[in-house]
Amino acid sequence: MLGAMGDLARYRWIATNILPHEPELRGWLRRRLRAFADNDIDDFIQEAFARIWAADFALIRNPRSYLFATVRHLMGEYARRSRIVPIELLGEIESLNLISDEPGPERRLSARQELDALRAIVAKLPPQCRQVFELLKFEGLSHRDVAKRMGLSEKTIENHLTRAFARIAMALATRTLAGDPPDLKRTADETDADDRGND
Amino acid sequence: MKPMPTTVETIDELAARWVVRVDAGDLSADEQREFDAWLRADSRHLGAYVRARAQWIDLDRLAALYGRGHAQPHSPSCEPQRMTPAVPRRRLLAAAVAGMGILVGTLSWTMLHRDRQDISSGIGEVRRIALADGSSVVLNTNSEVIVELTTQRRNIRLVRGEALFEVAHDKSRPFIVEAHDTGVRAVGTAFSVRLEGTQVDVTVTEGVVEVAELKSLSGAVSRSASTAPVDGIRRVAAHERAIIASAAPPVVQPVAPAEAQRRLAWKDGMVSFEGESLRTAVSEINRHNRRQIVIDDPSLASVPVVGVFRTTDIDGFIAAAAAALNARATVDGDLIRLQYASHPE
Repeated sequence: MLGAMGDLARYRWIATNILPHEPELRGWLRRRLRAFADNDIDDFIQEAFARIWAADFALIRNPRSYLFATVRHLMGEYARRSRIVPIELLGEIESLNLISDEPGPERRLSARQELDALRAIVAKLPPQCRQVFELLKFEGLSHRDVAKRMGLSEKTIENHLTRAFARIAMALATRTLAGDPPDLKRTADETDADDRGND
Repeated sequence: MKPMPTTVETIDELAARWVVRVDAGDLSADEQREFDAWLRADSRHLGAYVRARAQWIDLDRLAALYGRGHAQPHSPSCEPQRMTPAVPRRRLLAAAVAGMGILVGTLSWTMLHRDRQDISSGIGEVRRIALADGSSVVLNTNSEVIVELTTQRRNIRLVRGEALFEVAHDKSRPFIVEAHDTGVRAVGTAFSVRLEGTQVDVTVTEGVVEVAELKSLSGAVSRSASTAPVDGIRRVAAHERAIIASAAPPVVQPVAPAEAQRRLAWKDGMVSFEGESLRTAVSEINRHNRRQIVIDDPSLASVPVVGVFRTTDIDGFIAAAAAALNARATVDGDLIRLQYASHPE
């Protein structure tokens, strides 16, 4: 039934259909918008998720295109409202248009690859952060039980968990996919005047 | 005067904190107001929260694969570390989205608070879900629940399969699981419900639940305040199991803690047999797999089986069964046929 999707199903839809394309989008934004800081890229991504959350998912046929088109739209709004628009931005917006209309390479990792990526990230967390995260998320203990077990306050558990989660989330969102054929990233780029750095 | 903080949490970090807090449940009224205000303040906040929540939920899927027992023993603190360098935020988009943000934010606000969720798991999948009230549901393979949380009650319909519930204590909102025409009511407790055809199987591991025909339980709920026993309502305590076949009163039997643990091994992706017939073991393994095992020898089907298996490791199960029972497996498309390698005298 249309519109009957519960919140959890909506988050899961986003997890399945939008999150896998975020690393590609971030990579593209970072490579192309050299004038922008990482914070600015975060702004675009956050705004895009707010827009997507307001959408009717049943009408979104190609989530990757939708994500890219949403960001392109946001950049257009930004360019129109901003006093000082980096002149090349308008061209970049056009090239994003091209990439967003492509069917898109298969970027989904296998569960095994995802798991290996997650393990590698978790292994790099500070030990106590890591322990809190594992007990809570993987062992399924409650905040209270983890606090009791580790002899820490629930507030401290919350802090550790927040830090662990924020790091993991950012690492997953910005990872480069090892299995990517390198040329796929460039197909759209090469259709316009690329390689400004070559001169 | 307080010194200015030297670091500022980014929006993504604040969103991560809210996801963690909401997941822990029990937001106080003040915290809820703070959260609401934060969400409304800036559409980027809402977007960051939606993104973080989706990531958090997605981690549960990986958690089911991650396996248990990876947690480390005691280790030094990461508390004093700050992840964020002292960088002032550039509000690049703030002006650009100021106008749009209000409309989008308001729309999204109502959408964020829908309280009906339809949750399902695929074959071979175990899914753990944190509910907004602080309770959690773990879905066994090929299962589905519909969750409705209102201010009066917490209603969960087990549409198919099996689920384990860990119920957050909330006297003002009874937690009711419906399966076929049976209702199970809990206040703060842990129990699993399995639906097989029209038979409902309730195992309680913690606290007490009330089991009754859905009709009489709903009636009791609407009369609410009364704690007097109502006709047809059967109390089932920790370490007890109730089996409700349609149109018969519940049969309640004791379950040893070890037995209860064993019956819930699926939440760790495991299944364990202690003398059940091969027939029972195979039907349990088949629940978790697309490929199905068929026992061709009736005499083989009743042989008792002992062992612990990964629910999705159908090949491991077959190899163990073949070796232990002197059986032979033949693959026939998606079917695996088991029969005696040579008939016993």
